[in-house]
Amino acid sequence: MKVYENRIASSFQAVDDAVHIIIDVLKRECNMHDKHLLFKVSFMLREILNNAVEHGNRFDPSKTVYCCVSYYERYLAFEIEDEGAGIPLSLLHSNTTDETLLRERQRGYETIKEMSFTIELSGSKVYVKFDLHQEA
Amino acid sequence: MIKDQQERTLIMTLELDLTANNVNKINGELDSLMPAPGDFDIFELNLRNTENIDSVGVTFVIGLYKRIKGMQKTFCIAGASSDVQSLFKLMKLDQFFEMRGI
Repeated sequence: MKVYENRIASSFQAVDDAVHIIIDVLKRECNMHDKHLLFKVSFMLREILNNAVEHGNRFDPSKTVYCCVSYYERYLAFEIEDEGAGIPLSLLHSNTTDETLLRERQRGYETIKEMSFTIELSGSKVYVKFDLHQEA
Repeated sequence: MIKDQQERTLIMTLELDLTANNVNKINGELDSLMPAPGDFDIFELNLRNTENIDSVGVTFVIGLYKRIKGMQKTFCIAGASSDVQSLFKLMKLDQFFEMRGI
């Protein structure tokens, strides 16, 4: 069941506004009230959407980010697409030396994977799934 | 941002989420409130009002940690929710600074 679909402007403020709306939709329409799960979803969405507006659309006001959220009995599915050239696979590689632990940026996707989200990339599209049963 | 001082501990309490849309404003407030290094020994970043965080916010915390460490002072986080604490632990940042819960 698709619960949210929109095109988001290429700004961090628009991302913040969209994430608040999506979390409200998940609470209201999907009866999801686990605050730990909603924190994870909020963090994941901010990572993917911030990357899309910053690195994909480069804050170009003429470009938007497509975002679709679907809710199923067993999982949540997210589809996000920007209008940029695509996401470098290096963003998905993990590296955990002390020096890299303190590096400033681009750890977001590693953290999302460690939060048990599955991520698939296809050009400028990102598909994210979260198995709701693992939270039980 | 609210500034408080208890003896030699400087306490900065955020009033906004630590997210990309707010970080520039938070940085500006921090710069305007930051005292001289000789005025404190411990810098406590209080996150009791911070519900949401993203990696730009984490980058802010890391930058602040490095700034305070560069002053030869102690940096710590206080008041963070269990989710924010878990996130910092997941990112293995708890090995660099102390986290005090709510």
